[in-house]
Amino acid sequence: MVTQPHFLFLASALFAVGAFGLFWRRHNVIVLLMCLELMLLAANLAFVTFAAYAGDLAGQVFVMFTLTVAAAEAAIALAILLLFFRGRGSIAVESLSSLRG
Amino acid sequence: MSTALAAIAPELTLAVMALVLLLLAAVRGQAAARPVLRGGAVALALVFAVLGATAGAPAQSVFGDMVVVDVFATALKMALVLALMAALALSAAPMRLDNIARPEYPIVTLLAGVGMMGMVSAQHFLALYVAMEMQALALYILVSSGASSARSAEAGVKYVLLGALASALMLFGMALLYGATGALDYVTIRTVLEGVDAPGLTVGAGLAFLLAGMAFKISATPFHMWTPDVYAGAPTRVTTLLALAPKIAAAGALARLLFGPLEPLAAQWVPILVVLSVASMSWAALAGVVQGDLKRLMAYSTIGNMGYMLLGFIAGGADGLAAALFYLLVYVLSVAGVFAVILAMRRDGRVVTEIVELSGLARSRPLLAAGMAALMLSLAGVPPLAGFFAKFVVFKVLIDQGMWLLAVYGLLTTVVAAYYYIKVVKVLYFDIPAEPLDRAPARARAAVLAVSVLGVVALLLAPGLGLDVARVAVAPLF
Amino acid sequence: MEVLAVFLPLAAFLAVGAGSQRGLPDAGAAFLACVAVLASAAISTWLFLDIAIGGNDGRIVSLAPFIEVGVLRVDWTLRVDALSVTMMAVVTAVSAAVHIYAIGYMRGDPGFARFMAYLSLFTFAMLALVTADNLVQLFFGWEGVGLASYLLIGFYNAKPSANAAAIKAFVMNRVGDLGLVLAMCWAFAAFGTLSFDGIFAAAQSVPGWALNGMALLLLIGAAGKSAQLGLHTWLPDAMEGPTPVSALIHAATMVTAGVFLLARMSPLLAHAPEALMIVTALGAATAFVAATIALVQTDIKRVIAYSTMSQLGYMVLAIGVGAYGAAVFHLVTHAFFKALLFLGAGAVIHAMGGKQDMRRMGALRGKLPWTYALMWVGVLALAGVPPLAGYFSKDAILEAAFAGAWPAFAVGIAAAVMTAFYGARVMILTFHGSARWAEGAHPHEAPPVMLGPLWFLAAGAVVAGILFYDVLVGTGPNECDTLKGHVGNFISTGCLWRAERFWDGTLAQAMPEGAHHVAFWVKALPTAAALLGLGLAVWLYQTAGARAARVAVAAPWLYRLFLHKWYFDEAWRAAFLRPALRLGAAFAGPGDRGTIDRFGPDGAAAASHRGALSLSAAQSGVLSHYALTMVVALAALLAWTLLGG
Repeated sequence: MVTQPHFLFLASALFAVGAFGLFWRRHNVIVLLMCLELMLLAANLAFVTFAAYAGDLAGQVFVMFTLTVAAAEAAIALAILLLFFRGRGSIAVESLSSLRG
Repeated sequence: MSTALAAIAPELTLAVMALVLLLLAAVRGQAAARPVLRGGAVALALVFAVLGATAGAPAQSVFGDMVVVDVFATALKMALVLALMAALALSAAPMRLDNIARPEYPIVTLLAGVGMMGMVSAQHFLALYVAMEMQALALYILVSSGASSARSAEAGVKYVLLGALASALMLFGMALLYGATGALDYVTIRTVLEGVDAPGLTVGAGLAFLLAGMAFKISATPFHMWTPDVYAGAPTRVTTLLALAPKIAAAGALARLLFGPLEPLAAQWVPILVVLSVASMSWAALAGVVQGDLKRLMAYSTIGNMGYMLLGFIAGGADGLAAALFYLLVYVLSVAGVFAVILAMRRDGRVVTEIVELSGLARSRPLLAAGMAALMLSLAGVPPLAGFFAKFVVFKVLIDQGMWLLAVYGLLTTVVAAYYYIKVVKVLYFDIPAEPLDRAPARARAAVLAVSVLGVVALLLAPGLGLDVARVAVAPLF
Repeated sequence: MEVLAVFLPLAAFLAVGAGSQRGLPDAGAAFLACVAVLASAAISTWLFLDIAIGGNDGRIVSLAPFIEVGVLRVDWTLRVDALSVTMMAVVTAVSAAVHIYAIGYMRGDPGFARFMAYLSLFTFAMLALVTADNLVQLFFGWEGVGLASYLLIGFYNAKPSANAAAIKAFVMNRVGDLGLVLAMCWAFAAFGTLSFDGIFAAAQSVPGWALNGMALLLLIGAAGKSAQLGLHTWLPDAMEGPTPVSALIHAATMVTAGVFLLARMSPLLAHAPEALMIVTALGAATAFVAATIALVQTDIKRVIAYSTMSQLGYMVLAIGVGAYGAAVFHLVTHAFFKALLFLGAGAVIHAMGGKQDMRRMGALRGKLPWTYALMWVGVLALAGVPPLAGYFSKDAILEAAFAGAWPAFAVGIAAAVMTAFYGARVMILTFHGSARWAEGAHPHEAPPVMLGPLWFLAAGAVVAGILFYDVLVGTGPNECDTLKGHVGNFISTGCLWRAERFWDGTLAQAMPEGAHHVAFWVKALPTAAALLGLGLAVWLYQTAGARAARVAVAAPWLYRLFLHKWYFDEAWRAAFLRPALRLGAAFAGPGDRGTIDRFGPDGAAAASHRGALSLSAAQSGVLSHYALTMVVALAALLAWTLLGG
């Protein structure tokens, strides 16, 4: 029997995986984006779980908004990344370090 | 419904105007740049008028208690609109000089403004999230809008990725709090949390996630790392905007959260804020010392000042929050002037931002140098300028609460931080003059600088007045 | 009304100051400044009639909260009571005369508008000072006066001596200010308030030694502004400013601030008898020493400057013996005749093309008949010849001195002889005798715009004493029921007035009780002294020029002592300036750089610099590092809330 704690554990695990991915094997920025996406979806899963078990629709509606916003966010992030690639010719995480100090 | 629409008339006005201007830009292309800029200014003036007209109206909650319009919201929105106006006004000259005819710039600024105004009115996690993302997405675009500059794009990538991380953290925190309380609106959450004797794991974790996200928005250490890079990489006109408006919105949203639904958890969040504040004050004071770039220096200044502002939150109560708000407004007022000066820094048509470029400015541009010096001294907290009163008020509410150790620590970091502000004054007045800066007529810049400097100096006459206004503004939260 | 009276000069300063940058014509500047100060004078006079003479209650007009910090609460207020309206009336009246006079005197000067603006600022600062309701606001006006005087003394800023004099005035005043600031701190610590009413109400709850200490600190403050012996050396140098400024500084604003401070604080001073003895001694010494110096100076403005210092000594002496009313009375009469003398001297200097040396004058009587006549009025009033203004006020002070401290009385009489002597000497050297003009001098009478103020001030110098003697220091049995109409009645019916009623509690007392019962010879002696001094001057200078020189030769050391102003400047330099420089060099070298810097600021700076570099390295620019920082920080927060919190 799959119960609420199982779902929450899954959500937390996904979130942690995403967070680790941000700095674990960093190759290029697209991977980072995917990790972030994973974290957002983990949060969504938590929302849906809580909403479903509480019998409350508000949490599920929230997820609709989150998905939309995440899509916009991804679009903008990719656009900016494209801009960056055009200037620097690379999307490796290491190339993003001319600004520091 | 019509009352609900009337309540959010300022946001609606701004959004509709932004869309109208977008249409204009779509039809006329690059040629629309100046009319759109003017239109943006008119829209903001209009919104300011609407806000002024409704300032005295009683508080009301609309859209199923998702949005609240009270004196706090109205006051912060007025401050926001003024900050946006300053940012727009200051953007005109650099865009003209750099030959950038981009009607998108004012439009996106207005849309960011809609999001910021939503943030200070949000009374529901969904409203807060949507408003916050709206301003954040707009700001990501603005940051990376530097003309074919890889630095600007790099700043954009860093900002958007770390920003997305912050909003993921917030979202997870919201989910946890939703799970623990079964509600998304502030009022219910507060009622539920008040009924709980010891908050459980879910609540505690939710609080930590939520605060981490908010700390990112106000650039509190250790969630501040994006700030110097983004400030330095973004076009200066955008840095100006970043330093002014989003801080007001984030502080407003934070105040609504901490003194609203999270009020029952004060025992948990006060220590967190203490850590954030102490870390911000120390980090900014130290790291600022070795900065050579003025924009980067201002980024550390922001971080440090947010630390001082948090002291007001820590002291708590109406007095503490009023002190924090007063501090924030004085900070925004000073920083507007500083950026007016930074935007004036061009040599041979090229933008320069290094502090050494200001060497001996007092000789070639005495007024500009005097204004900058006054603002730097105010930021350093030298009496009797406004910055001194702001710090004084914040430390005083802390001491009233018996937290004198924290106040003393804040004072110590002020002394360290004063070093780099006063260094700028020294460069302005005592260093061997560099080549004079380009002279470009910019009435808007002169006006912003004049308002800022006069405000910082004139507060001496009635330091109590600003604080009284802040007290009135925060009253609805208590 | 009060608000207008105080702020009109400020408005004029702002308008003229702003206008002078954008080509406001001189006539416009003159018009604006004069109209503002005249209106202010009219209102002040009306207030004086209403509150002081009419006996209506004084009031405190609250403008805005100023400082509200813990228990320290200070408001912007205007205190309008008998003392402040008296001061306001004097200040604005003299200031108006000076403003109008300056139109003629400064005509054609490239800095004309700037000058008018500074004059208005000066007036505003003084009004802010006298209408203060607490020590903080008083200090605000006090510093404003200091600033304005700095600007005006250094007005001819191309002249190095003017700049030096301006800086000297500023620094000397700063020493006095330190006393005032310390007094304020002490008062706040002792009383928990800085408002006058609060201090006076609690004055007796504080031990005597503390009151004496505060009084002495106040005295230091007053000594700086009012040029008492020791802190006086700036005053003669302040002659570097244009003459209308000298008139304003010496007559109505600036130097009277110290006396006003002491009078205002008299309810507190009254409980500090030991300190008052020192006040008396200082005042008497100042009156005497300044008079001796004035005997031998040859610069016409310097003589009058030392005369001011001497008269200020009388006022402080009066404070010391508890004759607060007499001090303010002398302040009022002195304002008129001293402004008259200065503006007259200005007319002479104007006529001589800027020359101030009396040895290059003489026989100007025929060329400047009106100035000549009016200046005699001023000199006789200064000397204390009845029935002119100075006679009444100096008499009142000396009577009180006799009752309080007879040595002070003796010194005062000696100074009175000298006062009459140097006054007459100025007149004789300038207007009588033979013409000793420099080549190419064409003296001419001053224009009407300069003579008008002289007439007005001369009228004041004649009648101010008769009109106000009874009102300000009167000791009669209170035969008049109301003051209204008293001034007329006094002359016609001789109705007597008890001055306590006029002051309405703003001064501790108008006159000490003993001053009512002095012998006739005490009353007559000052007049005799004045006549003696005048006679001596005429005998030495008028009849045969050589006599004065012979006196100087007979007592050469005395002559040199007076001529070199008792060597105060030299003493200051030797006692403070040189050791201070040497001490400073010693500290700066091995002391500061070697010890303090190394372990203090420099050490701390080096440490923070190292810290800063490591933090700067943490800001690596690598996105993943930033993300890692955030996640680790979040983990720490989580651990805190879940485990610890």
